[in-house]
Amino acid sequence: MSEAALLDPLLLARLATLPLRARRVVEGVLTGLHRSRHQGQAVEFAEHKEYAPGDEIRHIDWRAYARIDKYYVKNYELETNLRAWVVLDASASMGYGRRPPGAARPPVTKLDYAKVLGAALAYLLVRQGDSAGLLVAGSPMTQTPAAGELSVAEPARDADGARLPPAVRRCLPPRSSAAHLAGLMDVLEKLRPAGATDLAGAVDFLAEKTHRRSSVFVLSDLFDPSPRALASLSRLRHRRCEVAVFHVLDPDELEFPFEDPTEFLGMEGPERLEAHPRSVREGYLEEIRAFLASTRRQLRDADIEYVSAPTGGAPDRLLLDFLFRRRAAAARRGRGG
Amino acid sequence: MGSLALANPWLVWGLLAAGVPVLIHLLSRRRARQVAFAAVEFILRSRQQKARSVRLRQILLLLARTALVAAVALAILRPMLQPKAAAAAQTGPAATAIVLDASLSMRWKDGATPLFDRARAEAKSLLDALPAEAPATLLVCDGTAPEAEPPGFDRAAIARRLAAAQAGWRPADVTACTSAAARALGSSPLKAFRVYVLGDLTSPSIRLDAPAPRVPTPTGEVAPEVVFIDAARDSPMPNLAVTDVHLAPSAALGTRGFEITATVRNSGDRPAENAPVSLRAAGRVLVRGFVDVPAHASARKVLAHRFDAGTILADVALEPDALAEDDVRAFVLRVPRDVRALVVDGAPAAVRQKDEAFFVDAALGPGRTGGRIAATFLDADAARSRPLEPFDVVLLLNLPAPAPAWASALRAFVERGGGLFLSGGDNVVPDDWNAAFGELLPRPLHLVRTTAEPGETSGPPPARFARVDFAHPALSLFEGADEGFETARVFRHVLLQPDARRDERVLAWLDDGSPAIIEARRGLGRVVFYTSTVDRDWTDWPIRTSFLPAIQQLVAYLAGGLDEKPPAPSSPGDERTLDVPPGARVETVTGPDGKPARVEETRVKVAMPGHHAVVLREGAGTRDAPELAFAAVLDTRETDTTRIDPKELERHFGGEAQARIADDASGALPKSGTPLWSWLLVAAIAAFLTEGVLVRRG
Repeated sequence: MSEAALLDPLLLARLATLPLRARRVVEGVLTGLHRSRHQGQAVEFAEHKEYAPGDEIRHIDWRAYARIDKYYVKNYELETNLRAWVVLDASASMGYGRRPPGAARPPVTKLDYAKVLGAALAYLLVRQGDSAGLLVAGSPMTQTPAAGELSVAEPARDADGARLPPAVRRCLPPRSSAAHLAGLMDVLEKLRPAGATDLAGAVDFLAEKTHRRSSVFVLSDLFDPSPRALASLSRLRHRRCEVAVFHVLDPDELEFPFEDPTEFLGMEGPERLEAHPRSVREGYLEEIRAFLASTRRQLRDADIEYVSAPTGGAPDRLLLDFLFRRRAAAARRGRGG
Repeated sequence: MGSLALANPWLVWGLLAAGVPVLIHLLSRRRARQVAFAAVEFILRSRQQKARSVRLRQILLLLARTALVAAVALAILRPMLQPKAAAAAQTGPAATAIVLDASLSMRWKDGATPLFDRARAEAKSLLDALPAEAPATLLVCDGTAPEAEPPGFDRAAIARRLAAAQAGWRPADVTACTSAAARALGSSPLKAFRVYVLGDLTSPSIRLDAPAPRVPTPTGEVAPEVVFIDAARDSPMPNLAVTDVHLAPSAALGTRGFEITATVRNSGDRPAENAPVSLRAAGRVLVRGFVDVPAHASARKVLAHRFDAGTILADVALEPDALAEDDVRAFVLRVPRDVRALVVDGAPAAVRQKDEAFFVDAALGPGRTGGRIAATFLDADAARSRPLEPFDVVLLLNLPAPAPAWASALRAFVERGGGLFLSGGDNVVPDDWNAAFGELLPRPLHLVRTTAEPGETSGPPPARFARVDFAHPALSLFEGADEGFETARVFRHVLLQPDARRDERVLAWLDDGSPAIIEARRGLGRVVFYTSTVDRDWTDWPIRTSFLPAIQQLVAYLAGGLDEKPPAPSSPGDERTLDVPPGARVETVTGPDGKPARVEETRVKVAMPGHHAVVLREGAGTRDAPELAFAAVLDTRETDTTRIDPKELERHFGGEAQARIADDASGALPKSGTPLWSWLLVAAIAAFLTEGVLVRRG
């Protein structure tokens, strides 16, 4: 199987094990999520400096003294242990994915795509020693869950057994161990779209739970009827969290390619609408574009990074562009700071 | 609005096809492919804004398709919209009467076409368009008693009568004619009755106070359908007319001067300003003036002129308008010629004031009469040898009884038309006079009566004028000024025998019951006997204010200058009896058109307005008789061309369902209705195009 095929999100959808998918994606991507601003006692040697009164005695490089007969201390780069959350919208609307005409393979849903992104991000984080957590947003399911699937018929509980709010289906606090990563991948693997979108509720929960200066990666279609969702994200910014929103949308939702008379069924509610697509296309596209523009504007105003993530594109390319932008931004901050 | 009729009613089931678009619409709402779509909310949002327009478009589309099919289906039914009158009209052939207004106002010209000609042509069109099974009759309403023949099928005869019909000169009662026509229809066995009235709808010819026409049928009276064909085609008929002429002597113009007062009526909606008015005689314009007449009003114009003596055939004329016939009104004027009087003084005196003829001389002098009376004063001896032919009037003032020869000459003079004035006095011996004058006197004389002595203050009072016949032409001037007679005292007068004679008339009475002035007609002339004196011997009347003018008037009367009233005019259609003198007969009467009028003995059938000249045959010869000439004038009712309100007309004759007004025959004939199928096809095409636009825009 060629590397290009591996990068094809539709091809990845056939792969059984998520961690593999995540790793394959991740290994194609450069690392280097962050650099700490702080220099001091370092985990990694950075440079020597002549001893000055006040420096830590334990940092004196005795070998250098033996050779040079002068006292030098070692400077280390202190790599902060980043705490990151992956907030994954697993509401019913994320289950949309159109099967291409004539294709035999199952469609790639927005949730599938978001899972890939989420898994890749988590892998990256843990691999480089950071902590990655997972928050699955989505109100409890109403249908009987299939065997092996996560049931949300009863209130969800976190790892400590505490009851989770209705907007949160699953919560895995950030850890940096490999075992934690495996468990996170497992959760992602078994995740199914269900329930109404309540991103605001999930983000509010996260805002209470997370440490300051955490990174939050939101993977959602943002089809939240409540206008509080974006306001809740702004609240995370107030807690000095770095927020990035990956706006996952299906190409159908962006292009509205329907032609035949269609009865459109809502995925999170009882909406039903029979219409001839030609008569509603223009209006729909107007609405969706306005929605996208408004979302971008509000997130920009809140200093939240917005990443458009249509499921028709390659997730590795998406992440690559994202990480490059991050590194460039970090470099600019280092030069400036 | 009328009623809807269908030419193909059996195809009404086709309207069911209009339900097909609805059915298709319902069936076309098939179960669409279901798609679970996460962004359905955005569709809903956009649809909320477009919901109304989309729904409206769907509704319009359904309506357009339904209308298209329904319009085609209805067009196939060939619907017709029938007016109310047609809906109410009885079905089948109708017994038909055609009433043609032939009154004077139908001579009114629209351009160059008289309304009568137009109406007659429309009547002919109606006649030609009548179904063969519809019996018809014609009534020409010309002012004579309306009588219509029962309806028949001889169209040719009706057509001939129609062709021969002419507009008359008289007013016509169109209402009466319509009723007569309706009555004539009752003899038809048909159930439907229709009366066409062709006229100008002027208000004088239609009486809305008369009952509406009814057709007598065995089952009762039925109202016929009445259709008016307006020959004037709903246009106004402005008209100026001379409706009256009044003649009066003009003191300002002296003798033979007359004032002619013409009354002009304006029947138009606009005032007439500076309308020319002319006085004409013998083909010449004598006087011209201008008159302003307000709309629907009358005004008077006075024209004055001094005529030559004799019988004047004149008229007052306006400039010809659409109804030129009433722009001229003829009249006959008797203008007295100068009177030549022979005054025979029976008691001349050296002292002028004591002369018998002194006061008569004063009365007849040129200064007082303006030269109208030329008087010759002679004594009795001179007068006897004077021929009497040159004179018009002979005055014998206090003469002794004339010799038989002279009396005979006087008699012949009077018989030939001369006037004789006789006055009393001391020389008048009643018996001698009776013997000399005989029947020439109005009444035989009796004796002289003295009531008082002049100058006496005691004793019985003198006689006075008690009663004066101011209706007499000679004394009409004094009506209202009695004091000239009342104050006169008569001390002595001649009593007349009480036997009344033929053709006598007492002009004035004294208070003792005896005539003071009496006249009689003898032959062609007249004799007036004044029972007192013309000087102050027997009376002081000569010094009263009324004496001089009375003498003038009596002389003028005797000369024929103050005859009876001007001859009354006749009207077309009248039969006038001429006052033919004994021994003469009417030779011809020439009408205004120069053609002889129909004459039976002394009765003339007046056919048209204008002057009529009379020629008499007397013995072996003929002579013009200007004294018998007369004018015929129009009945002024027909000069009012104000048109009647059509709504009032319809209402009177039974409302819209029973009566209507049309401009011509084609509009008058029963309508089969207005076809609607073409409009329905237009509607279908419009619906088709609308459907196309809506589909394209969807």
